Amino acid sequence: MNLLEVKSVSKTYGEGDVAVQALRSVSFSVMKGEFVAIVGESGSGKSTLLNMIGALDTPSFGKVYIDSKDIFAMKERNLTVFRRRNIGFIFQSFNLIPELTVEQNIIFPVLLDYQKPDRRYLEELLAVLNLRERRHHLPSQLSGGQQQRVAIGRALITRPALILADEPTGNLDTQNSREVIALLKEASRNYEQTIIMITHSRGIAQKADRILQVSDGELTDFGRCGE
Amino acid sequence: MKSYLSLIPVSARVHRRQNRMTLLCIIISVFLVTAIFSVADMLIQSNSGTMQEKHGNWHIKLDNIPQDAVDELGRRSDVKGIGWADSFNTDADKPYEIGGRKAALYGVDETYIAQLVNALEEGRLPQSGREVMLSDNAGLALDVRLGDQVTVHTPAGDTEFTVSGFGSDDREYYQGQTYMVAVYMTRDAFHAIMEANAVEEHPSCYIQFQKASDASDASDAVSEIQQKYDLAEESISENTATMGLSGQSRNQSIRNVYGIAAVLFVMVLLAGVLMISGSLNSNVSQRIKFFGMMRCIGASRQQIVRFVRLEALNWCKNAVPVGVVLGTLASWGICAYMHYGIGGEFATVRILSVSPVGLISGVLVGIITVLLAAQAPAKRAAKVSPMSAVSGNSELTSSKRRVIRRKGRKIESILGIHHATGSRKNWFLMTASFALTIILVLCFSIGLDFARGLLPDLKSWQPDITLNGYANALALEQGTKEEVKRISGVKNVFGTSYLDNIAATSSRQGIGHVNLESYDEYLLESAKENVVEGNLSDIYGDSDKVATVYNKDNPLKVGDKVQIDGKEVEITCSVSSSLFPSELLVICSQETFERLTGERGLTMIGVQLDGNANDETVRQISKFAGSDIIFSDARESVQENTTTYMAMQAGVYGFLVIIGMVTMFYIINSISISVAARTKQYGAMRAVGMDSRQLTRMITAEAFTYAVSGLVVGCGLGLPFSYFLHTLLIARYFGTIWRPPIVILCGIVVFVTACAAAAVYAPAKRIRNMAITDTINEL
Repeated sequence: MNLLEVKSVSKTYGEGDVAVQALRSVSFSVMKGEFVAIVGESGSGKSTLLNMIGALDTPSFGKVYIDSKDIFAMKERNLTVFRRRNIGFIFQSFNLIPELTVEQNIIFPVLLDYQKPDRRYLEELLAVLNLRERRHHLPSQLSGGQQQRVAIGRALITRPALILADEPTGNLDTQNSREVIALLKEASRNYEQTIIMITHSRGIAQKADRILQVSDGELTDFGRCGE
Repeated sequence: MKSYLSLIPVSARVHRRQNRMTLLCIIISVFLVTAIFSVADMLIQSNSGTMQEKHGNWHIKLDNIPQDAVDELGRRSDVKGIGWADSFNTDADKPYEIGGRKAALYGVDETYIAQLVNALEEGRLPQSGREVMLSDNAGLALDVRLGDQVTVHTPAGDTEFTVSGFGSDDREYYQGQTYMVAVYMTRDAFHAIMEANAVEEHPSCYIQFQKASDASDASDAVSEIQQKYDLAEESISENTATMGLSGQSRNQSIRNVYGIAAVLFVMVLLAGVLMISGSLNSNVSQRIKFFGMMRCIGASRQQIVRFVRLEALNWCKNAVPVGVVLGTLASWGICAYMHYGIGGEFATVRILSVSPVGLISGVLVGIITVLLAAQAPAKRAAKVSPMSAVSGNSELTSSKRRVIRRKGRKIESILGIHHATGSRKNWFLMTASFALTIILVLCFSIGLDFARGLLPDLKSWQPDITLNGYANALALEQGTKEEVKRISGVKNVFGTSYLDNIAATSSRQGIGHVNLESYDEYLLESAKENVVEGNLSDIYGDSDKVATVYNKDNPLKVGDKVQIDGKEVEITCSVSSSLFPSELLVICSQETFERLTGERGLTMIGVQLDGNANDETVRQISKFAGSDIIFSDARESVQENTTTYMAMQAGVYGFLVIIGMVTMFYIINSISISVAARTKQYGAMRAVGMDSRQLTRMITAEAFTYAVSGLVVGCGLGLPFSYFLHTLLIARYFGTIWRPPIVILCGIVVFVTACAAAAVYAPAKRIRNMAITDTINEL
């Protein structure tokens, strides 16, 4: 069953002579629970594609369906709520809220929904992420790897169907990178979450179920790893 | 590019939009300073003319100075003119009369009367011992024309003079009264009369200094002359009008005015520095990565400081001329309002003139404030770590953070409050900014009430014309009041009787006498607005209830019983002001006054005129004046005091508007800084699900935290201040009880709310309209 369907998405920045086509009629679909890596050169359009899938940016043409819903047909407020409940984001530079503790940062999307966090699930996440001892620490008191683990916790807390990770290991050393990827794979397996991750590293991409390559705004599907 | 500083104009062109706020702040500062100084300059110039017309353009007056000393003074190069004048019977207490009116005699030389006080209004100056110049009111009081013969009656005999001209060196004093006429004669003629009457003369010498040296040199000359001729302090006096306006007065009250002007100047300067500094800070925080990059590629801290300072000066290039032009235009508007709108003594203010003082101070203060304001942001920019070029946001790398305590409130509100209170220094400054405005508003409103109390002409019963018994005698009849009332152009007439030093006893110890004043119905009705305690209605008609004046010098209080001529009355009410001096004053109705004293005459009849009043109205009223009844026309002074109060009010409110505007801009700037510094964070929040309304609510919570803390501190300090000032200035002198200024407080709440709302609007809109991808990648 497809969780994500991208249909003929194009994105052009600027107009006339200075127009830059970042994406050219990209189409693909991703199944539920699949772990997909997107690779490509800098400026190839992979971050643009991820922003379209996460509804952070709007395409010039084409449609994106998540769980059969046309996300760009939604109104801004509905889209925000949809994103909050169904999409988790992990950024290269963590983007944690410096005033909030580890625990508060993780439950932040739930609080934005004016809901009470599921304490049992939170404890489970803290244990999986190995952050129990650090739950009351501020981001500035954590290492880079720990901060990225908090960001992963924040992406998982709403049990989203889709997690989008933009170079989650870009600021991490090899050891931490390995741990983060392992965590993402585990989450994908345990919670049946679909993960789409951008990476520059071929090695990390190999850990994914499937690799997509973006080059000059065009997408090539390399299919499932090992196929 | 010749040097790295060539980047400044290039950067200014590229970042035109981001620099808009900073430019606006500089323009406002320069605008304010130019407008304030230009208006002040216009006022001083116009006042200078008016004051010299009223008080003469001499600088110092010397009494009891020997002739040889005066001759020596005349040889000084900085002395322009020396005039002599002597006067006699100016208090009208001696039997010297002219045409049945009291005569004040003046012996003057031509330099004094023509050059130093420019007294002549009509005709010519007395040329011989047989000619006199009379004050302007002689036309009304004596019905004389130029060339008429007049006789001055003195105890030693009469002297005939021909009227050569009209005018006086104290127009204000003689204008509008017919009781006394000033007679100006040559010094020889004066000497002859004084000699005949065996009166000792006390001529005074008036000195005017050269225009070029003017009052500043006059001030030095005063000390020099005093020392050289060993003159006593009291024998040398200065013309406050000329010396004061040049800033050279030794007079304490004038110095106090300078003090106030200096304080206002410093406050505007500080406000300007605060505003520009806030804006530059905002600008720097938005370009942390840029400064980090500069440091990365080899710029030293000193070079960054120089860069920020020169960048600030580069903004002055456009902002200062715009501010100066706008300030000049605003000063023209204000002067036009004073000239046409307020009128009175401001009718002489010039409208379309350019003030060099305003222009120079605008330019200088603009540049100085910008340089001062650039200090802190420049240092801040220099401190940016080269790492910021990589990480982008210095806010995110700070480790000095407090953990948020979440207690059931919405997370966006908690974050907003935390953003406001996170930096103690910023929170203090924002709170102080609001609080300062609130305290100033509360204190200035008390100042205005005090000014209103000090200007009795602003009372509703203030008469335009009065008929007063000489030495407060009960010389007017009740019937006169009714007759005056029938004159066309008269709106209201009231009468009052006054007897001082009446033997009395009281339930209060140490009272041996009281002063008794009667109020007719009109006065009683008017006095209701001044009631401090009790109810005035008890004292209407023939009653044993009376009122007194609430005053620190008046021992009589409500509840006291007073026995006058064996008849007892009780004080049941107190008012804040009265027509006669307040000490030991008992106010009663006309009927009670007659019963207590057996007197039916009136001391004073006050007349208020309506719009139809003309010279004929005044002439008819003046007919009731006689040798024992003084006619006074106070219309001009009432008008002057009213216009002065209006101008003062406009000035005070204008100043408060400026402070309010500065506060508003400061708050808008600070919220803008805060949002700019957290752009990336807000982007992340939006990416993980914060919607526009939550985002706006978060910024609103931040702004309103400042507003509420400012309100609490401002009102917490301002209200006790207001109470203290009220007690010190108003309750003490006018007796009015302090009440919380509800209307002003409501205005303050509206202003503070508006400031906070205005501060939220632009940054919230900016972030909302920015694509999430842009906010994440910002910096």
